Amino acid sequence: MSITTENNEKMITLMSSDGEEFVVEEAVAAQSQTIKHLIEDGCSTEGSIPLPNVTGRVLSEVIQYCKKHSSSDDKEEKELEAWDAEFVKAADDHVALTDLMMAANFLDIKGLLDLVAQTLANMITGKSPEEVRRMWNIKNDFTPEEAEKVRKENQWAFE
Amino acid sequence: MELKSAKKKYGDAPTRFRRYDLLPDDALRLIFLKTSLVDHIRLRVVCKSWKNLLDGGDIRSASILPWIMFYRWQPVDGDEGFVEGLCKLYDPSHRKTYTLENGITNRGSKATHKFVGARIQESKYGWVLFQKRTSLFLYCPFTGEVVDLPKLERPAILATFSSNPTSGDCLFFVFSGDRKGGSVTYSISLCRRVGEATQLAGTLNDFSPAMRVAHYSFKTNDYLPLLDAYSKATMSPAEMYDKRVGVLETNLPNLEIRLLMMFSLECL
Repeated sequence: MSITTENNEKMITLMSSDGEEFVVEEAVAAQSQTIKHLIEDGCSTEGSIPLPNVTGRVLSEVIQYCKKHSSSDDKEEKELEAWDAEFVKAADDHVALTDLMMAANFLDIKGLLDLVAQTLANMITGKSPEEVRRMWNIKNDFTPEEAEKVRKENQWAFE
Repeated sequence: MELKSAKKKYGDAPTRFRRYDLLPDDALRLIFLKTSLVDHIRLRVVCKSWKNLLDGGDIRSASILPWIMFYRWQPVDGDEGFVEGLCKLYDPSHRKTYTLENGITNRGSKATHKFVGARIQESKYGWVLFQKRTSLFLYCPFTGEVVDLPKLERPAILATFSSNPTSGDCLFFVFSGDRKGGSVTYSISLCRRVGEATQLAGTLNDFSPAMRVAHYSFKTNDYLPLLDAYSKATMSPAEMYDKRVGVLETNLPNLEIRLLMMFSLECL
């Protein structure tokens, strides 16, 4: 269902994987290329747009980001940068950031993807493979011999 | 602030134990693009899928400044055939120096002598192209690999290559010349990898002796190298050094090269 506000902004409803509904201006939601295409294909006229890969918690953060970035113009670039820095700081840890990354990837929001990728990249910079595995709960599928071989190829980078 | 309250509300939620090696490749690629070369090397050890992704060759590292390679190879006094080598890499973005242990260090074979007095001509894709008189060779400081190029007829003046030297479509361009009597003869040679070997594919000999190649670079897709050349075009002193640009055309199936055009920069 599309609702129109007083200032004639078209509103659309997004529904998270856990059934939470968010009513947002179309211009805000359309920062996601995925949603933009769904709107263009006429998927928003009947009821809400379901987003089966994104939970309500993550979606509320994504919407915060999109709201901020659709209301600011270029003149406020510095302020926007500071806001972005505060935004990723508020996401707090790499688990929340990874959830955001997955959502931004699915929703195809370039600015948010870049921002979160940079934050995660900063987090893994200088870390050992063991630390990175622990951080993301990644299974080491190398045998000890294989791991040693890969490491030996560039031993200098591990010292 | 709005953000803080959001954090308070949801701050404790993401405690589920998840496997993030299931992060889509696109997302991982974006993260890797923003990390440095040394991080890439370390991240290769995390798991097999990360290694495969990073070894794919299409993910560049995010170093803001190019790395610097220090090298010194010299024969050891009184020890015939023995060469002492030292190779260090410096990452100016992070102000870190790495000492390579797998480089050409302290190896006694004759092969290491080729490094003594060799000059760097080009560095790309993790490979360094060295030149010493009429011989050219590639050296990968990370793996210690050395690949020889065919011997040239004349000493090389400038040399470069088009893409990753391990790939089959890499082309090497060498501008060489020597002085016989009063005149200098120049030639441009084209080399290409055939299987494991690098073969001389063609030579352009009728190059104007008045022209000096200052620099050339590649348009990577169609292998048209550009030449910046200085030519003594006319007798007038004001026009003595008319800067010209030449474009070489490479005919890939037949492996021929020819000077496609020369034009003065003033025309542009």
